[in-house]
Amino acid sequence: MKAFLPLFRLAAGQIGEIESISGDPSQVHRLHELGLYQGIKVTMIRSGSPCVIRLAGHKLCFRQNDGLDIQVRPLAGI
Amino acid sequence: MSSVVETRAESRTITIALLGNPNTGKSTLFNALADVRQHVGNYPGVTVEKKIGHVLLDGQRFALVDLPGTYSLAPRSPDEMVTVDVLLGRQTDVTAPDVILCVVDASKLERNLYLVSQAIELGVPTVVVLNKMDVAAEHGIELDIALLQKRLGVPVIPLQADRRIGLESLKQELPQVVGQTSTPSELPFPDAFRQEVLRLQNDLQDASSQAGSGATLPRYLVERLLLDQGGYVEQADLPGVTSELLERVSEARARLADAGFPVPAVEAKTRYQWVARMLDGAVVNRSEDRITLTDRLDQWLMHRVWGTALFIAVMVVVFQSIFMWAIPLMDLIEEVIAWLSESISAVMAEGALRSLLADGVLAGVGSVLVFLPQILILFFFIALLEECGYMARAAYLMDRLMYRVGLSGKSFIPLLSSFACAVPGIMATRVIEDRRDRLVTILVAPLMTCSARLPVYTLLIAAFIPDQRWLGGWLGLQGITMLAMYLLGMATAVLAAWLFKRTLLRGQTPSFIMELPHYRLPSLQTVVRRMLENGWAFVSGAGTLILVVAILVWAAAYFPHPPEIGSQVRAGYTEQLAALEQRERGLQDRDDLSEDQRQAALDQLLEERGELRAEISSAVAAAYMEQSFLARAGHFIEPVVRPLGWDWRIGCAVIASFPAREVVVGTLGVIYHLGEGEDETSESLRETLRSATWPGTGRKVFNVPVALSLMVFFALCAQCAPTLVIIRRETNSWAWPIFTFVYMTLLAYIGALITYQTGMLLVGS
Ligand SMILES: Nc1nc2c(ncn2[C@@H]2O[C@H](COP(=O)(O)OP(=O)(O)OP(=O)(O)O)[C@@H](O)[C@H]2O)c(=O)[nH]1
Ligand SMILES: [Mg+2]
Repeated sequence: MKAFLPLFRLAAGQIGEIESISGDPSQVHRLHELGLYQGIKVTMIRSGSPCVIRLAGHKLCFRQNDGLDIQVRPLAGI
Repeated sequence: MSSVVETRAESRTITIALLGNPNTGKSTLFNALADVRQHVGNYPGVTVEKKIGHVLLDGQRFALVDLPGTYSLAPRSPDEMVTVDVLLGRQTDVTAPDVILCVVDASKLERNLYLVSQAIELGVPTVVVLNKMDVAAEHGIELDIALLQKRLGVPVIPLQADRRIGLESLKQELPQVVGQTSTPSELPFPDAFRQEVLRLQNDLQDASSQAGSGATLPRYLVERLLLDQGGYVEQADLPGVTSELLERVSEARARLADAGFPVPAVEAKTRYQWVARMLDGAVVNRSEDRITLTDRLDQWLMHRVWGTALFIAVMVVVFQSIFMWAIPLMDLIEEVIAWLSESISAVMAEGALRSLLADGVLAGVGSVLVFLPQILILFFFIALLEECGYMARAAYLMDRLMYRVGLSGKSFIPLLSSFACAVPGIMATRVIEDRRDRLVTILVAPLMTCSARLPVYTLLIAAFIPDQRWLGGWLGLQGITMLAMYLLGMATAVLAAWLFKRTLLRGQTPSFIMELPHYRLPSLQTVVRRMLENGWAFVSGAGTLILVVAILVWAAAYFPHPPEIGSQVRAGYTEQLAALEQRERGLQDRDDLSEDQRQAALDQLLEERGELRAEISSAVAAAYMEQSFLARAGHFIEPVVRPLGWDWRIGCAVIASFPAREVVVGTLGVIYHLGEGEDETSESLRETLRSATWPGTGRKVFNVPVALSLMVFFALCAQCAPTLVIIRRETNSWAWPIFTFVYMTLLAYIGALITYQTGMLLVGS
């Protein structure tokens, strides 16, 4: 099994730790400001596109475009 | 005592700027503090423009500035630069803030403190407000406020703005922080980084003293210059920022990269590490992943099937109410206007002034006010849905669809608002970060069926679409036609958006990120207040313009008004009048009739006379109309509108309605020579349109294809000056409003042409 997978591959209920975010610098920066950065844990609440994720107390709805690559390390599911 | 008050009253106003992430409660706090009302909503991005209010604390006047919510002070667009400029006192219309009031959502501290870390670098006295303490408590978050305050080095005040809990301690604190410097226990960035900033600042200073300009850049902007590679600050044309300086900036970046601080990645990392140090031990989250009521609701409301079904149901209810509830109110407004107009006619002598008041001003005011119920109802629902937190879910559900045409869920609310009026809809596009997406949304928003199109549809449908019903009256042909006009607007908008995204504004569909706020019970007071504010904005903004247009149209339809025309027309009727009088006299001379019979015959004559009088005044009005400037223009363009099946009179009404489409009903009334200011439900205007014929023939002007072609034209045409003005303001260029006007007018013409020509093929002339 691979250690990392793209964020949107997480199944609903699964938790992942963000390993890396790469792509268009200004978009990456925006994600950082929204609280999505390396080391943070995200829970996939609703998979799909857009997906719904929870991180650090807030819920985000998120559709990622091709210019972005977010890799997560899957942790235990609920 | 009184002297103290006096000296204080004389001292200058102190400015407080409210800064914070979107939806943290800045506007709520602003309203609680100040005496001016400001929009709130449980949807990120409700405040799109800075608002200023005042408050008297401790005898001292404070000016409050409510800023749009932002996640960061790293400007990426002119809009975001405005916030930074206001905070640094670089904006001319607002004085430099003496205090920054940082409103923070206590339940989302990690992310909110990111902005705080930037705010304290601005070097302005800062107060941090921990708002939504109730939500934090509900989430099992415990805070050590004293510790947090010590670490941040600024006053930290827990608050619940919507219930005004904690407001008093904030009011006490505010006057005290003025003039104080905030000293956090540690700054976000390490020494090495700050040295580089200082060095650049010195370079700038040297350069400006050499040039003798004396212009300096605040430390914070120098820092941004260093951090935002290729960012907005580099291109913002700031004083002293030359290509030579930018060279130095890249050298500095290279040195920092060597020292282990790679720009730009370093910023987020450094700041979040600082946040973590600030919060360590000061925040205890007892139940990180507790399932809240919001989560449970979202399982249904955001469900692909149930959520979508509910969304459709909500939309049906919204639009149904707009039609059901608004109609009686609209009728009432019309009656009042008609009554006023009659009263004016009764008390004033005939002439230009009376005509101006009754047919120009009142008809103009009426044509605006009549939409107010619909606009208020739509804004009521928008405020309600936003305030309870549902709107963000609607945007999520719509994103899938919007994505297909290259837009995102964020375009949903601007487009929904455009169903009431495109002006607030276009203003609401500011929440869309991506420039191209925002432009495309602005360009297609005027295609949504706004309430100003309704009168035309109502009139023409009632007059020309047969009232056929099926399924026990539930499904009617007239209703379907109305729905078809709405769908036509939407479908065209979708196609246009799709096309623009592929041609003119080509670009990658940006990522779509949106916070989903917690559901909450909306406060009726807030909802009603927002509804009224939006309604007022419509009346005062679009209203004045529509009024001006109505007066201009009236003038064009009234002048030159040579008096001899009236007498000429009247002269044509003298014989008929004389004949009536003759018969009356004859009646008096007859004695073979009983009293009753004579009376009946007299009544009959009186009625005939009344009818003749009405006919004469219509004929006079028509004769004046025929020679008016408006009619001359109508005749001039007749060749252009003939292929659409229109006669010069329709063409005329359409020209007159270019500044404001709702003017058309009144103008049609004027032109089809039945008293001016005719309203769309009036039986007589409907009848007149039905019976109007081409001059010199018995052929009717209107048939179903003509009516449809006119409706299609109105569905697609950009007949609204306020919309074009607002597009100019939001895009900061005349090119876009001109483009909007041209593309929509072309579409409208082609659409109407196709409708009429195919219609005639089907009907057969
Ligand atoms: N539970 C709770 N809700 C609050 C509190 N303060 C404000 N709200 C609600 O939070 C929502 C957002 O409030 P706003 O005042 O519009 O937020 P804002 O910061 O001005 O938002 P933007 O203008 O979009 O940046 C509204 O629904 C408020 O009623 C609070 O202390 N507790
Ligand atoms: Mg606000």
